[in-house]
Amino acid sequence: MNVIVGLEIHCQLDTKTKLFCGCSTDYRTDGPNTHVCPVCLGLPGSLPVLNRKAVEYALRVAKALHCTVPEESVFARKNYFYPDLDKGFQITQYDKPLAVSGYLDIEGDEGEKRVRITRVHMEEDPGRLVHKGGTDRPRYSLVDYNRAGIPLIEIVTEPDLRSPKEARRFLNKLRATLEYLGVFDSEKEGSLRVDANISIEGSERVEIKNITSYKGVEKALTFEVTRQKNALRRGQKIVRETRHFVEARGVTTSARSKEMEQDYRYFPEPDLCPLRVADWVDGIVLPELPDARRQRFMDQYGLSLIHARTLTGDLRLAEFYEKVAGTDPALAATWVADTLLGELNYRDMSISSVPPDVFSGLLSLVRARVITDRNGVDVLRVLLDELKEKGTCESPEACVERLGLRALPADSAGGDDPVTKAAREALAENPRAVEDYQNGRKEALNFLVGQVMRKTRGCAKPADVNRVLVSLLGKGA
Amino acid sequence: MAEGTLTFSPDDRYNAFLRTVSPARYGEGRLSGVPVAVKDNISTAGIETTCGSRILSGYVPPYDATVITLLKKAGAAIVGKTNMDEFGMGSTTENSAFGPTKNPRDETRVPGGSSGGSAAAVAAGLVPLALGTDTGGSIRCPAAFCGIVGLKPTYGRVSRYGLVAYANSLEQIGPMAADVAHVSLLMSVIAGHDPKDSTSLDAPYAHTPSPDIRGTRIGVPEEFFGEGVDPRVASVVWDAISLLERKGAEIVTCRMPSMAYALAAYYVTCMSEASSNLARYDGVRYGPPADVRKPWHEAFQERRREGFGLEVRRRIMIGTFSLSSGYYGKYYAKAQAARQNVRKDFRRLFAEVDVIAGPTMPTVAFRFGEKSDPLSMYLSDILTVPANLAGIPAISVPCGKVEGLPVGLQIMGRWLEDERVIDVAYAYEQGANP
Amino acid sequence: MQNGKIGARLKRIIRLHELPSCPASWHNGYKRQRGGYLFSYASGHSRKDVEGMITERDVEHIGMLADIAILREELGEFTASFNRILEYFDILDQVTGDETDEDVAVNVFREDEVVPSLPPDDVLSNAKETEDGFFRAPRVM
Repeated sequence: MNVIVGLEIHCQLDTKTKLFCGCSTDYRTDGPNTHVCPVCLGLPGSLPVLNRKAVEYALRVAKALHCTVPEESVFARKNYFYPDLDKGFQITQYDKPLAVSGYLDIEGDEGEKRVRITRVHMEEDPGRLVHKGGTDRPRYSLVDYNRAGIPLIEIVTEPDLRSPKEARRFLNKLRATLEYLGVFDSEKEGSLRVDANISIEGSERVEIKNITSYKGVEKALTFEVTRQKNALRRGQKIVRETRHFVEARGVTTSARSKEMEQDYRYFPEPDLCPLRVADWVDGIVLPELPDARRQRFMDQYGLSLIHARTLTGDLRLAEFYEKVAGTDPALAATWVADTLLGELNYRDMSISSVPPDVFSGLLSLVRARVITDRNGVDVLRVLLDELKEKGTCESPEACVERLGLRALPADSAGGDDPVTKAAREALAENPRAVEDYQNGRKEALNFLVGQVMRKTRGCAKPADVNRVLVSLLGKGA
Repeated sequence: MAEGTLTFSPDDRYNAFLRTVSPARYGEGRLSGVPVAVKDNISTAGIETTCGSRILSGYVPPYDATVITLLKKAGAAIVGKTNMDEFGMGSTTENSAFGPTKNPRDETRVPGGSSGGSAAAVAAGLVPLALGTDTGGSIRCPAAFCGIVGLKPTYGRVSRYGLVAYANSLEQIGPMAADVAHVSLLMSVIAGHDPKDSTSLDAPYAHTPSPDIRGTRIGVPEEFFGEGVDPRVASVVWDAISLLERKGAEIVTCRMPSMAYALAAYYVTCMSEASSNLARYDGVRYGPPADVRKPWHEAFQERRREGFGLEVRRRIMIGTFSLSSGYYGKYYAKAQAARQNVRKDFRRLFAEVDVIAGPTMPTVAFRFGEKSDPLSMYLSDILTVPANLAGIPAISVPCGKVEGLPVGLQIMGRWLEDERVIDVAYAYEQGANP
Repeated sequence: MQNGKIGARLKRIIRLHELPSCPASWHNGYKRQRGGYLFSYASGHSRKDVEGMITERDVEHIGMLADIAILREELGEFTASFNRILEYFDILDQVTGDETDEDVAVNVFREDEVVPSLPPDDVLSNAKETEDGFFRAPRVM
């Protein structure tokens, strides 16, 4: 049973002002209705004037997605009634979108895959509703129009995706591309929303509306695949419908059929002029995009494909890596991709909260073997906890000293270094293991190494411990 | 004159004003101390703006329309907001939620509409200047019925920012006054480019009317004297055109076949646009509130029923229908094609002639209640809507009387040739009143 | 109504639907829920060009679509006037030609520069129902 998925992605463009008025888009930390004017409040008599930057940003996206930009595009009114819609219609594009027929290459379930882009168009964000009232049904709604008029682009794919995982990969790649283009900030709350169309081959299609997180898309689709497959196995028919994703419960629920009957009565927006910007496209110089940077990371830093892909999959991560790659790009890649990302994820932190110089400092300590790898991870955890709590942290050196995690010397010439001492103690305390080792059971050595590591609180370098133990055992200690 | 205030307490026996401002402030400038009446669909900061509708009663705009800013800059005193058909939907001012305006020339008759209040205020001598708006004749019709002058400027020449939208692609704010010179003066204050209106043109108006029209070619389309035009009106208008000929103009009769469907194209377009424009009156941000205890759609439907008059609801519903899935092609799309045909007709004619002349209205002012059937009221706009469909300038200037009631001569000009339209109207006015 | 008629209707519906830039999937409603009104109309309501006239049920339906309540006693008047007006509009069937406007202005923009927003008092001053800086609206669910 083949799964067929198509996505409609709405992204907020990161302009300074709204799409049709000069209100600031920097509203997230301010109170409700503080970033509004006659235009975005829909006051009678106000008129929209298009933000040139928003068009430039949208065209960058169109070019990066290899779209064709038709000679003329036109804004249209999408008419529907909802209190978050200040004018009773949304200004969007309909039959003449800004760009059509593009593609984005992603890492699919079966290798590199080309996902076709149907269209890219511009539109305005509606306001935001807060529902007030009882738990089962709201009594009334509160409306904040700060978000009304924020520029959005809607990117529509062909139904080319074949699994929830591919959908997630597509989204990640798209997000990375938009961020590389400098037109989108994925860290801003609510800056991306997705509608997903999903069907099992040969059955009706279901639309899941308004998924607001990256992880939500895969979750919602996974739930839907299971639900639809189960229904088909039981011999039921899939009905064409719109469903909502309930993020908290990880399920989709059927929306009332009334929403299916929307007739948006599109017509050209008489207050705006058509766009003829096809000739702008040639003038757009695209920055290095994720695929190009991945290749460069492999060429320039000698990274593996996997590391290069991971590190270029997010603009901030790629920039962070380049800042810390320093003299040992391989070490830096391992530490960023394999260690740091997991620790950040665990703490629900983003890469932007880590100062690159702090992380570079830590890498230098590891590289100079001032601390062991294992204690390096411990130091990192302590520093991240501090960062999460206070936004700042002590230097890695100070942290190492404070915790006493400096790697121990193991120059066994005099035999009074801490590692040799600890090794002697471990041998003395475990005659049985020594005996086993002497009788040829080499795994006894691992036990003894563990004992020494414990005594040194991880500050001994594993190679040193091995060498010292073997040497002592060889001498018949 | 310096800055100051003036007391404005007119004897408004015709119900021309919905509200007056007194004392009214004025500043320095070309219109210093001149009282100007403003149609109530133009936003005035701090002054209630209702569009003649209950759904906006109590709404006080927090901003000035661009034309108001310009008037204030020129020193004018905004003395009041004038009555109108609700949202501009009507040709009689009977559709105002706040009672009709009477025609100062004959109180048993309508002043025309939708800018009936502005026309009556000027005709009654309450103000020398007034702003109206013209979507399909709403300046010219009341100007003709009340015996004053009214100009619908070239689309884009006067900013629409702050004009409460009825049919965006058709409407313009324009000047109304007792004579052409005053209309020209007011036009020079309000015209000009406005970055807040994307359809605004950079074409300021700084013209002084000239009565010399020697060599001007005037086209007279047969359709403007066809069926439905009162022969007495036609005769008065022909006399006026003959006067222009005596002044040195050349008269050329011509045809305008697109007139056959211009009115239908106009009504489909304005109703469609209106159905969308008037969707914002949900009572959330302004106007009488919707009942927040009810579910959204129920509250909204009820509020719109209570807030809008019959004609407004009719136009919203027909407009909704003409845009709806399955009917867009039959109505809205066809109306736009018809509109292009009207433009083409004008383009063809204006290759031959400099202006086009005819009656403004097919009849003199109606009696109250005479146009109770909506379609028969729509039909009376047949001669004014072509200029709106094409976006060209058109003026109505008084040109005589039928049974004591004023008749308007309409002059339409090429796109952006408001000056020439003014000159021809001025030439008539000077010639008729030497 | 027969399916064939719906199909024919769909074909001539709207120029918007027929443009090549419009994804083919829109025709079958893949991307959007379009045509619901059309089909619900087909399944029970009479239509103007089927029976020649707009009925009171049609007017009620248009009222729903326009989100305008209609009183029982108004239905007759609305229905009668709709029929007269729409009949007049039928003259548009004779129109031929293109709806595109050749000499329209294009590319009108503003720069991405912040302009001060309205003072908070002005924002809420016309609203009768507010709460903590929000507007209050009827519930939507």
